[in-house]
Amino acid sequence: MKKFKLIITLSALLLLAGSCKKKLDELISNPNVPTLDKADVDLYLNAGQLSFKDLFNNTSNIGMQLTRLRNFGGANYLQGYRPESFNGTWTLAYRSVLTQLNAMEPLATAQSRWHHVAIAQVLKAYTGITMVDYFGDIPWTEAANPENSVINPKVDKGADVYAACIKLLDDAIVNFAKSAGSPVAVDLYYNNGASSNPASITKWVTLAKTLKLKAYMTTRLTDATAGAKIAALVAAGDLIDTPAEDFVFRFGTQLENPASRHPDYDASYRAAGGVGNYISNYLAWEMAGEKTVIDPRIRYYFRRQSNAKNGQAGGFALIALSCQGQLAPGHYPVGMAYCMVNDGYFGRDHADASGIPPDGQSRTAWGTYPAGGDFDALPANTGASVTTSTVTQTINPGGKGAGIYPIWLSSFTQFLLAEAVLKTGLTGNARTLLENGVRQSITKVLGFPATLGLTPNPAFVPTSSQIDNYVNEVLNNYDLAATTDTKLNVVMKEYHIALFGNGIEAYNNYRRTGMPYNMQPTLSPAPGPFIRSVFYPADHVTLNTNAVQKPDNTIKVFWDNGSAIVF
Amino acid sequence: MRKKLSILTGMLLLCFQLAIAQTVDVSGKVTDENGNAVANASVTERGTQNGTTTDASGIFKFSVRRNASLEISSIGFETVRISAASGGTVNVKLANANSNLTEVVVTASGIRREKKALGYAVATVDKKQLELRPDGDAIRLLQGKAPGVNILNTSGISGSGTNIQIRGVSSLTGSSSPLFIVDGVPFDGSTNSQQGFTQGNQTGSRFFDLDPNNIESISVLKGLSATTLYGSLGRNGVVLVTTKNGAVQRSAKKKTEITVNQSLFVNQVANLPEYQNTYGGGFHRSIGFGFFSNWGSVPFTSPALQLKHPYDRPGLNGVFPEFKGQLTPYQAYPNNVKDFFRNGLISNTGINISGGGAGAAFNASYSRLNDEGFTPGNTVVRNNFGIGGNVKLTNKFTLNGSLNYVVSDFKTPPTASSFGSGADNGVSVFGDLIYTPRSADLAGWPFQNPATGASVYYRGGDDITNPRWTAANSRVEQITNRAFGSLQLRYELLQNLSITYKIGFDSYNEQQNYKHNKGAAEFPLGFYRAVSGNRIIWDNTVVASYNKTLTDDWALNVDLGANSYRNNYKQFGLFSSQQLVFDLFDHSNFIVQNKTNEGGGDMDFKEEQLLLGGFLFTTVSYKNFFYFNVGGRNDWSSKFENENRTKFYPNVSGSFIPTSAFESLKSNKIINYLKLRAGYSTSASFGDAYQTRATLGIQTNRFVTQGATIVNSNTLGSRRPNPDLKPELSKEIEVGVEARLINNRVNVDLTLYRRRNPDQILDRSLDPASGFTVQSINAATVENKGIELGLGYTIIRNSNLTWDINTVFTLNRNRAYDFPDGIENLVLAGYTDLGIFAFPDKPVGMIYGSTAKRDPSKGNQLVVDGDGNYMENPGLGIIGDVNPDFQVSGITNLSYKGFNFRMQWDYSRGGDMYAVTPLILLARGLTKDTEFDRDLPYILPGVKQDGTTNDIQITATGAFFRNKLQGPDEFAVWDATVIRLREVSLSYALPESVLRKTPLGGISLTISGQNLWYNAPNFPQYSNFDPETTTLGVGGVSRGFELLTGPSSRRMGASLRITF
Repeated sequence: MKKFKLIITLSALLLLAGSCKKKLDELISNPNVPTLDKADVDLYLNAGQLSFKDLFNNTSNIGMQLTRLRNFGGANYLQGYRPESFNGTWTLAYRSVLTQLNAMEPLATAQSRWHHVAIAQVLKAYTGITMVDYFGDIPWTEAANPENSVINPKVDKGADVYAACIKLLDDAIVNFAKSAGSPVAVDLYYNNGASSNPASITKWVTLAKTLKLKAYMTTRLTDATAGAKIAALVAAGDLIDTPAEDFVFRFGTQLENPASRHPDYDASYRAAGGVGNYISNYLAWEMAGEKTVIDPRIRYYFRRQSNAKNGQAGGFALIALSCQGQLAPGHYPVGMAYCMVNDGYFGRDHADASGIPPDGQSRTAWGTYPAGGDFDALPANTGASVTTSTVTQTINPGGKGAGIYPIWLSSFTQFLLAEAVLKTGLTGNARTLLENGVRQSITKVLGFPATLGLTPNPAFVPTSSQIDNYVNEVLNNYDLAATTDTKLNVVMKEYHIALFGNGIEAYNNYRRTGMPYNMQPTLSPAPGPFIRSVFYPADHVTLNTNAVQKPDNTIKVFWDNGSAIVF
Repeated sequence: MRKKLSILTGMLLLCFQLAIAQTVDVSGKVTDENGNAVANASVTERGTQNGTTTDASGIFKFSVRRNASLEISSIGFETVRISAASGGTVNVKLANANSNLTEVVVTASGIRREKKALGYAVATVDKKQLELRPDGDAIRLLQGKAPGVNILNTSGISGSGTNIQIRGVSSLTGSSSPLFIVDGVPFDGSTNSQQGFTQGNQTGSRFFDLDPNNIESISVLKGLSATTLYGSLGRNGVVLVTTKNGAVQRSAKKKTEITVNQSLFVNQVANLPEYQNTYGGGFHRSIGFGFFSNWGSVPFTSPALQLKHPYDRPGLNGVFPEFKGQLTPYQAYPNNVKDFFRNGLISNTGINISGGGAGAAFNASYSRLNDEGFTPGNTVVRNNFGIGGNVKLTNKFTLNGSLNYVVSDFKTPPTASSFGSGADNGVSVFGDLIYTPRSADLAGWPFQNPATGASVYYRGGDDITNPRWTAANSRVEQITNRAFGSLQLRYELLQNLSITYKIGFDSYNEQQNYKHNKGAAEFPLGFYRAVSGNRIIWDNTVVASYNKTLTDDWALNVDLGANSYRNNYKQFGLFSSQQLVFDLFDHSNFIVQNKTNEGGGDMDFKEEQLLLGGFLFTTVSYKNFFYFNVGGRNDWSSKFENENRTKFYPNVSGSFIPTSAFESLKSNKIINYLKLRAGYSTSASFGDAYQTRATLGIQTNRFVTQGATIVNSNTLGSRRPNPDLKPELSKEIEVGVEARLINNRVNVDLTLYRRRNPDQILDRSLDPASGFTVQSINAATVENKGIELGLGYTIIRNSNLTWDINTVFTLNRNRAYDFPDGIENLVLAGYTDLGIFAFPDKPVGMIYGSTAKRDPSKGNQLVVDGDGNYMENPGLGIIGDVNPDFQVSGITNLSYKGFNFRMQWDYSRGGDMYAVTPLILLARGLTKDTEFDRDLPYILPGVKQDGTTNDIQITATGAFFRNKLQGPDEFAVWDATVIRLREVSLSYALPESVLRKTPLGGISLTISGQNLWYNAPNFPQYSNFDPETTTLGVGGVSRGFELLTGPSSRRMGASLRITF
């Protein structure tokens, strides 16, 4: 009996121990998320595509601020961008884009889904090139490897990353040519979210080749063979040269759940207290003040809330715009934009770090292009009275935020080829390429409302003769320019204007050429040296034992030989 | 002699066994030295669990075995042992004790131990120090009352979270919060924040569900020697709460006693800055109503300048025609901020009924707390119901149990963190309040658009929300329904062996709502977040206790047991946005429903953990002066992979009482009592769940294209899995002395400890270039060592008058070291570029942020740039250490007849704090610190980059706004030394003689106040800043970081208690 009891007790204990172990095992896995074996190739690629556009926006905004395409609110170049400013960029690039695409690749390869692999390669190449353009030497070969993660990845030379990225583009071209087992379920760039098809895949191939062109042009100062490489690509002929091939990210119109609108639309039309950000006075001046002819794109780029002139009675209150009527700082060139640009282009000067007055109902908003906002239909100011038209926050004006990120447009190719003709000995007519670039840009911008189902007030839509006048003034300036450099400056000025929405190219162009020459100076006469490359992010420097911060932000990236004068 | 004794012992033992069924009744009266009855004294039969308590008249009666000896103890008195060999009447006079040294302490699983047997420190706070207080948060009331315990309010908002830490920060990135044990079972003290600190909305801590008036006592077990019994959950210390319902003891004749108390307090804002009223809103050389800052450059004039009314604008002319075309004086409104706050009323009503009969006893209680905060919209209502009982079923079974039900309802306007310009990342009633320009008539101007309900304020675009609008239209709510209790069944298997089975449960539903009407500057379309969280904890313990007096000198006590702890939490939430009809909070009144909250966080999740433990603890005692404890526990946790999930942790401790051991010391007048103790102990920690395996993130409905395609995605989780993660093992050595000296007038309790927590389970942030952003690893060691001293002195003690002073001194030094290669520092709290960090070989809790550039060749003067503004260094640096040098509290008690006067002072020295409130008051030109001629140019002290003395003129606005608000972080760091008058109370109890002919047992009236005065001398003089606050919330390293968390509270009022 005693033995029996003992056996019963012992077996009960064993049973208990067994069930305890089972329960302990069960509870190890996180019940809130799936396990890795549930990963899906298309869903990975979606993650990469969506984060890619965020990375574009993040880096583009930095570039736009530095090149006066949008307002830079830092007091000077050292304080305005600190190492911590780039934590987001770094996480987007490595964690959200590269890691997800790298996690997808072995699965896609195993499933022979070559178009997935190829798209991932193109996006990775663009990411790598852009990160080098901003940071210089970056982790690449050891970075973002999900299967065999290196905790402290070492940096590779910028030139090596560029070479690796060009190799990726070549590999992508090969992979696009393979037959894919099944199409890419969601192509956000060339098929507006529908699944990929032969036509869209052809455009991806064109893009891959155009990105090679972009990379070669960027490195032309330090790579003697760049000209030959460009010439070869041009000879092959498959480049983005028509708007149908434009590489853009298109936004939707949903305000939230999920938020799918262009972020600058929300900043302009959805912020409390009126328009939430400042446009760049310099860009407004380039379009409204620098030439004798007003830029035909200006009512598409900017949507004013008032057409008041500087200091005009009934115009902007002094509390909103305290610099009205004041003289520009002494270091500003004569005629340079200062304080505001007539009529009613209310932005900020470069590196204006002053406090924020209640001016949300005065600031100029982003317009139809590229943010999907409102068309500017304010009448011309005859000097008699001021017309105001406050942006309303409660309805969804204009294109409801269905804007684009202009990552590569056909006009960019034209300007770039014009530079190649002038600088790398490419055979061709730079003047024609310049005209093509300006006209393609104007066509893109003026045609944009129609793609959103918008009809701008015809009274303010530029006529073809207004467009011709503008083009003629540009070409006249080109003809008047005496040297190759001053001719290139006319090209780069037009490229700059056309780049609204894309600061990556503008920042590269500025460091490569120092053009346009007449950039607005910072408000402070002593802003410190221009940022030739940005600091490494604080996260990288503090968390990675192999990371070394730059002594300052004047360290040049590998393709920048320092010949350009930038400020 | 010795031989005789042992023979006698043997015979006695024999008798015991023969007389096992023979019982006799024993009764008596327990009085103090002055002959007054001692109520609630514990009377137990030695060596058994048999016992009773005295009634209000000090009378007890119960049955004991023949030849029993009794032990009579009561808090504040020496324990007396007396023979009751043949029953009958035994009257006992108790001598006053200055401390609780001889009390019985409840340790794990209801195991009672004499305090002198313990080899570790226990701080006990009795009900007298907790009841009838203005604060409804029992844990906040512990402030300054127990050495080694550090308590920090998250804010002055009534019902807001409270941070408690015992013996310093033990974990770098995990929680350092202690375990709460209520009536013997684990009680969840979580703070279930729905958002990180940047959204910072006040979340109450769940120990708020305890009613301080229903607490019999709180014991704080600090060292691992004390807490190992509770297993790894207790490794950060244990707060052992005994409620009145859980403290029920049987007695033969228990008089029914009803106690009713009613308190009323006023709740006021304790610390508004001292504003200047010379300058108003403006910036640089401009003045006006629209300015956010108070940098008006010309003083207010008399008569006042008439300016266009800020509400005279096209958008408002329709709804406010009275302001159309109107001018209004540009003048100071001295009370504009003060009048925003209110005097809240705190009412606390409690009823307690206790009684019983021969075999059973019970206690039942009900209380209701209604606490109005000083901030409009902040209220806490809490209803506590509880019942507990104890019944002897047969001779061998004893059953006791308690059941409590709490409904608490906490509401407050949101208080997200702020760097001094609106709310950082959410909505905050304090975000734009404290620096309201002097010229803004906050109280006089309407705050709401009567047509739309939207906020209106002095800024033309209404880009900042009127704080009055936020107080009226934005609300965080936390409604909790909670039941907790336990059942304990004890079976006397053999005379010396009992088996106890205890099941405890703690179950609550916490409904957290965040309601924000449309029309604010932040989230202008409004939103409604509702999250419902359910937690249930099941705790099962079975213990076999063997209690044997081996010889007359030696005794043995063995507890062998097993425990299972299961903690299950689930929550579900919905976040709706775009309100349709103003001021209606129903999800159907919102256009969009989201599965993630406003910060993008998933509200739907579940977590379950299981912890199994087996333990064996043994105490050997020799006579009544030597005690030796040895034991250990093994835990199995569900958080680790199979091979790493178990940890064994032993402990050993002992105590020696020379005053009982040596004849020469026994009646010494100088040293009345002396105890030496020492212990070495270990404990495990299992960290957070789900760290060992890779996961896949899923994101549904992530984007909708123009073509209405819904895009979903999956991502590799950002946490790098670590299958090799192991439990931590903490090790602690503790020595102490307890003494009563000079006729029991001086009372000393000194503890020295050193604790090492090696191989910390910590979240290591990774360079995103690695593909991941975080990983749990075992690394680094945290060492805490410190001194805890309780020192009491009775200045006067006679029949009418007693006056004593008790001081509590806490000193803790901590250090982190042994960082592995690749970890230069660790973010403990805050942001990665500004926060609380750990660095190797430095104290845990360094403030790390941007630093000002200095010129070492010029005596480290600050360097200005070409514009005359201070420059920053490109990298970050250490800008402070949050750890205080020491903390000391003094409590004085003066009793004269029925009067009692009590005062508590707290002093905390040193420790740095990053604080936005004092910074922003300077940066925006509000306080008297900035009352200087603002029209004059300003030259910042320092040198230019070329080393010459700075001579660049800037405006006053530039000097303060540009260089403080936009300057390096180090300009916002101050020394947080503070002295505080924490509590004052005066009570009067009617003498028994007056009440004798009434049905009343007692009446007492107490007038008391809390946080009546403080001074933090190292903050800007006129900011009146109170450093006893934290923005970082509850759990880890939380002190030393303040981002406009809001002012603290001062409470004053009276309480009446009547006993029938």
